[in-house]
Amino acid sequence: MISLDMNTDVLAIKCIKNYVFIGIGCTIYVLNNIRCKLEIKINVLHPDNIYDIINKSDDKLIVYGKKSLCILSISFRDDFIRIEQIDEIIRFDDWIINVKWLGALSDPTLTILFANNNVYNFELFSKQYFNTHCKERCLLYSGTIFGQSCKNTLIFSGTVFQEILIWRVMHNSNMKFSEVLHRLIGHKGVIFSVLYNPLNNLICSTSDDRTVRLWKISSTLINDLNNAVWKNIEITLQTTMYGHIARVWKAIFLKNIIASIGEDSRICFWTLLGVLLYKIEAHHGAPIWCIDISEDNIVFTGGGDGSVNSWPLKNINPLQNHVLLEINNHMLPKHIHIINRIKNKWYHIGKYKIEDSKIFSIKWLNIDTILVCVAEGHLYIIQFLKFSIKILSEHVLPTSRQRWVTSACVYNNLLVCGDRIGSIYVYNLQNNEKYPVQSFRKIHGQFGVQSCIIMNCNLITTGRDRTLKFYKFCDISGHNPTIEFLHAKTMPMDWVSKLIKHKNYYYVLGFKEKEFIIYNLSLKRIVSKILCGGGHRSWDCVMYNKLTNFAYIQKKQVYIVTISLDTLYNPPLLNAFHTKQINCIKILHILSKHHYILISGGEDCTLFISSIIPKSQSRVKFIDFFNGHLSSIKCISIFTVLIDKNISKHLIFSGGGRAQLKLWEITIKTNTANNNTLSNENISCKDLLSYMLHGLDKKRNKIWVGNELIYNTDTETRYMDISTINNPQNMDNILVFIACSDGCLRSFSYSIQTNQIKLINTLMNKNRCILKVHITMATDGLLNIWNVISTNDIFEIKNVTIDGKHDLSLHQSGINSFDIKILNNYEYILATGGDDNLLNLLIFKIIFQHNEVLSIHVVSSWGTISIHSAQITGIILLHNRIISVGRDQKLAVHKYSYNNSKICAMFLKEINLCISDVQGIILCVNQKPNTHLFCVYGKGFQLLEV
Amino acid sequence: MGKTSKDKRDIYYRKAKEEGWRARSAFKLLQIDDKFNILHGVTKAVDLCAAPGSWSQVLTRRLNENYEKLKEAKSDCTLIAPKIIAVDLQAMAPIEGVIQIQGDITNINTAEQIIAYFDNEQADLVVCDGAPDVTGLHDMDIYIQSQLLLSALRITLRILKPKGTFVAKIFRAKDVTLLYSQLKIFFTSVICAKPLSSRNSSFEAFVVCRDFNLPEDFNPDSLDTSISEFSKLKGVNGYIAPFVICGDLSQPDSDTSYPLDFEGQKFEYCKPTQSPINPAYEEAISLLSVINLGKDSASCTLQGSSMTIDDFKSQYKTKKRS
Repeated sequence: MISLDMNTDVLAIKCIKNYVFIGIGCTIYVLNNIRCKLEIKINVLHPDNIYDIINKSDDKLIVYGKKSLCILSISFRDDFIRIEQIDEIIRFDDWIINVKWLGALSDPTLTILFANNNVYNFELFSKQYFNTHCKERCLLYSGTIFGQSCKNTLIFSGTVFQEILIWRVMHNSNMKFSEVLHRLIGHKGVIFSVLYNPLNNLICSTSDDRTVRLWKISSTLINDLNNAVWKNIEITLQTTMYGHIARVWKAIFLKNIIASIGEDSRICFWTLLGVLLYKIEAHHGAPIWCIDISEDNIVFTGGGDGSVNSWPLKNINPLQNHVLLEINNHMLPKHIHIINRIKNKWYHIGKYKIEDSKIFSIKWLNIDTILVCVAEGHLYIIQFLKFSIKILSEHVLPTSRQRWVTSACVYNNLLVCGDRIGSIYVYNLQNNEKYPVQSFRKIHGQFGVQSCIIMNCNLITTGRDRTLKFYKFCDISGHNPTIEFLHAKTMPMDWVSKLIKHKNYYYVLGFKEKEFIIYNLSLKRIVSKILCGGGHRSWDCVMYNKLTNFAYIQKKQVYIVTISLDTLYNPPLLNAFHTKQINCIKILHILSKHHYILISGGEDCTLFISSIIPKSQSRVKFIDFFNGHLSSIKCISIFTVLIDKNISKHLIFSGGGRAQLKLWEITIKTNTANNNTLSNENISCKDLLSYMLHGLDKKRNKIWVGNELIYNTDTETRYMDISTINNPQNMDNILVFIACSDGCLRSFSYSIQTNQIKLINTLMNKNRCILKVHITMATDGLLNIWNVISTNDIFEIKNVTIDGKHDLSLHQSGINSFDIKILNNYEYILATGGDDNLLNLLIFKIIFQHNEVLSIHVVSSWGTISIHSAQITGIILLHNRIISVGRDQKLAVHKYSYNNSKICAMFLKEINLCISDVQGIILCVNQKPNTHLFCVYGKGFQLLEV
Repeated sequence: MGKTSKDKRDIYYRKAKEEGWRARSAFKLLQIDDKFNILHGVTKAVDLCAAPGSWSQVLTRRLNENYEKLKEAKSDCTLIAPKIIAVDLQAMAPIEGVIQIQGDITNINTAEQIIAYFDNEQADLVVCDGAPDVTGLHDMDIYIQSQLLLSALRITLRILKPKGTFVAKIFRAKDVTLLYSQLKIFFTSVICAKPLSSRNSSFEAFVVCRDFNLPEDFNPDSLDTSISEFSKLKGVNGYIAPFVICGDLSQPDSDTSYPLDFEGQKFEYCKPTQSPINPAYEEAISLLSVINLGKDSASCTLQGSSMTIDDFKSQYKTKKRS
């Protein structure tokens, strides 16, 4: 087995010289900080995950996690780094909290603090140790070791009982326990980290109570780690800092600053007096697990989304801000003034009246063309000539309460306008038509469209509904050009005002409350926030070279803020994936030997598209993500509409919480010259529809009748699994079967042509949550098989009897995974894995009786409960192998054979997995003969070859 | 989240409030008892990590029912009324018929206190539904849960009668077989039970350990030096406890969504029987009414060891007024 690639929580980060050492799962990644290049990737702690990386000078690395530890030797030479594992992994009986190599390199004794509040002085060569137990017996979540040598060591341990204990490690003493020297009391929750900084005599702790606390040691003599001195000193609580809105995992000292990281995805920077300097939302809502700082003051963070981000620790107040001019005019605008700048001077070159009404808005369409909006929704396209203007065309905006244009753009012969009530209208300029040929009513909600932009031959509109909306042009050079809506993306701001491209990156500009936001779309990160008072003002923002200029009016004054772009962000060292658990991954089949496409959905309500490139070093490449689900995505079904050498088209049905079904159309162009990379440009995704069983839920939950509150008593159904087939009667029609948590099997019919979905059947199966559909399986461990009869006017689902019964009991409780294969004309093999640790194999036969009603006969079965010790969540049937994965983080391989109507299987091998909360496994491709590439997913994913 | 969202998500959450249980976990013990009859003949029971007290509620209701039934059937005056002791570090709202000990289960005094309450006799049954606040790092959560279970086992070795029963929460995940093996050293029968009221999607299950039997050469004091000494007990290698589901099809299933008007009854909103007591985040939450900590610029700093959240709030308000 080879573990090829992995993405899960990043728990460890260490900066040494120009290199960043990252621990993901059991693997260490070494990246060159300057070149941002992956230098080394090695598995060091398999199957345990790396929780921390500690360096001993620049020669050794101590890598540990859970109950294991290993030592690596590192050597730097000019532009080159080498890593070597010195010894085997050392495994202990208890959880490791902290490790230090305190003595000289020639004295290889490790000091190891364990979760039961005891310390080993562990001799690396002989593996002998001396154990010191603190007198206070309790469990630790955190702790730190401090000292100059292993003979003179202090322990700061953070307990589950909300205390920090300070005690000494004994050395060959006769005493049974070490006394507690100090007990720091104040936290109201479990202590998640403790740190002692001898330079400023501060102890910094973080806790479940969401605080960071600083404790001051008042003594002048603490450099001498003498027992008596530590006993006599006084430690007092100096400050308590609240800034996080969830648990605070860790804090580190960065010179005179403290940086704390938490479950709320934020980094807070504090002064040593406890004053908050600033906060960064760093990992898209995923918890931040680890933080370190490099010699050149760059902060690195690793999070639950599998990414590593870097933040320059400079500009705390870098913004240049100055007032440009004051305007004090109360006149309503009724004229257009044109000013032109020639040789650094502005000239007034004309004043024209279009109509005797107030001008509502003016939008530039071109270098010499503008769109003018006057009363009654009248629109004029005006071109500037040398000494006059020319009206090119006239149009009318459909009626609305606030009837004016807020944005516009022209592409070929199409004029696209967005208005104040959030609608988008398309006018055909070729035929000089007054009225729109296409309209998207209130596509941006009720607060209006902010901008229309053409980028890479596509249209993008932004609005005050927090979204970017993507469209493509159809038949653009033909007679009836139109636009087609593709999908939307939610932004971390209330008003999305503008999208600009600057040096390979896309930036979204907008406002959130009183701040102007610059967001890097490619890196999914807020680059800057400027307090300007909010979006209700005139402003502009341009980026050139390395500078961003933002001009705005506030309180009748014009301000300009200049920001240097490259000091504000660095690209992430590792890219982010799902921020929460992945519930499902499906493979999208394309005719390409270079890559495979993965579609994944998870608890973070986001659909991701990524590709696997089997021949590169980091094999999984993230391509794009899509929002639109209101709740978690639990299941995906792919229906391929078209597939050939150049292009493939697929329908993706995704379902999940809140009884929401979404349908996406993904088009992939595979004929592009560069075969090794698939980028966003090769893939387009269209959000076809969203179908909610109970309709949109505005005010659905609370209904007031007079003074009485009536609760909506409808079920909150979750969609657990989806299965799709072509309707054999009608090729345009797709039948969609959904397993629902309210015990119903719901059938839908989708028409490709009209893009409409309709509920055609609700089969109340049982009062048990159905987990899988294809055949149906529920939390009661029963298997049901259904016969679907669909002709033009009849749709019927009939239960098929299994050996004379309605269902077949396979498991004691939930059936969480299955795979099915056809063996021959009438015989099938079904493998199921359940909550009850049972792995089941079943051979059944379909029997056609004389009256054509089917029935099922079970031929043979086989099962084992001795392989997995927890729920089995994924199964794959291969030609003669069966692969199963479970929540015990194990992958098991069995060999099966079917002879003389008897099925039997034999255990071959098992593999420990690094990712937790395993939800399933998929077969990626038959890459080489005799090996298979698998992707196991759960909290992250792991790609392995078996 | 709407007021009824949780009611819709989970039928047992709803039923617990309707039937007056302090937590939905009450149903788990009820279903385990229905299957294994663990409460039969029990007169002395201990509930470890008892807060908020739903299992103690179940113990009092069921044990007293059993006692009343027996009394009617036999009219025997030698019958002993059941005694229940609940132990937790946290204070807990009182439950009638339950003696509360606010103490640490890892402390030897707690064991002595329990035995004293039972008139120097050992318990017939020890249960433990304790779980850590999960961090989201599964490895860590599983480890802490296993340590909690071992702490419960350690005190159980002192307070449980030979042949007695021990029921505890376990996380069915990586390395669970080690725990099974360790339990198997002390109990003839170790079964992994999953009540229907425990979600299919959850790691949680319960070990039902019966027929307690301390090995002859085993001295419980030897475990006192450290809890970690337990880690050295290996027992049967890689033992997988038999899995048994508790509850039948007549009972609802925690994964299924049911309409609020379930089984023909009109839905009425019930308040939770017991709100959380002293959660770690209480002070941080109380700040939210004054400043929104979610904002980028928002923070609160308390100087020194004497300044309190209330001091900050009043200072903040006066500053705002002026």
